[in-house]
Amino acid sequence: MALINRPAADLNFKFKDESGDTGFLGLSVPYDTLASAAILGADAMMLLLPSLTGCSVEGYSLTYSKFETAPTAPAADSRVEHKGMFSFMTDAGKTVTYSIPGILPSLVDAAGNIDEDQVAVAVFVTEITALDAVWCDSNGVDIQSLLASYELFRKTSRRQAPKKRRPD
Amino acid sequence: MRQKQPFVSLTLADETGSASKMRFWSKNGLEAATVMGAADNIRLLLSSLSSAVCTRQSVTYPYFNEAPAPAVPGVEVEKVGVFVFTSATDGQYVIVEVPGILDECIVQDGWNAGLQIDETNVSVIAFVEAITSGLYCTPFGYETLSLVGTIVERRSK
Repeated sequence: MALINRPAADLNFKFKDESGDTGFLGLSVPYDTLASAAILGADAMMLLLPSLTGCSVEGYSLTYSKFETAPTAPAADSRVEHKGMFSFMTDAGKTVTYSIPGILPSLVDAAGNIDEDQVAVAVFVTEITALDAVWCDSNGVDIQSLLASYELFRKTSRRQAPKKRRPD
Repeated sequence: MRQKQPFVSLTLADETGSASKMRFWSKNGLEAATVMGAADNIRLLLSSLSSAVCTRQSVTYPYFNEAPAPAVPGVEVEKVGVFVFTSATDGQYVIVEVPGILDECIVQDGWNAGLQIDETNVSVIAFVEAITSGLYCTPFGYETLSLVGTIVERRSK
């Protein structure tokens, strides 16, 4: 199982006209382009676009993607609606929650709590809360410690439901 | 421009084919290779936590314009200026579409009035130079080379 990167990263600029309708300008940069270099180019493009378009240019996003070309089969009875919720405290005293789809039942006790003593859980928590971790909350604040972990069942969306909903 | 927090998105799929996404925010100032490397670690850890399998991984750097110029009255996103460029691979072209193209960027006189973009317009020249500067490429990674054609299209809502 290996994720293969796309040949190019996507740079998408968002436009909005007076009526509120949105449009997009999509560009590609080679995948090995440094994000800092691509962002410099995008900032320069943002200065050019107002002289070409009458729309309001709201911003842009740069995305690098990798795809699994030969995924292993998911476990039998796996369901993304069965979530493992991990709630962390940040340095700002706020919380950030990660929802793991298809949480392994072996990690959940009878009361619905996730067993934080399990090695896999402990390693995940350490990865998120390490001092030099890459991760933070949506405001850029460091994540400090685990507050709570538990299972949760989400409703199956219409799109997720099987197309043939009646049994044979 | 102001940066929102970059984030990694992991898509996991279960036995039924249903998919669900996880989002992790990363710190500012990190290159994609660094963030993707950390995301690789998370993905490996998830294989011990989840019965679903990861099918896609991405890192996104979002920026928003703090003070966008207001839209010009009467301009519609559906009026699109289409630029066609050659690439470093024969037969592959780059199509660049600018929504809400301004009338002053469109040919005003002649047989192609209203149909093509005015390639002598200073703003158009600057835009074309930016696209062919060597930074941009086709979705398959081949460098964008030169402009070969333009057209103005009206898209449906």
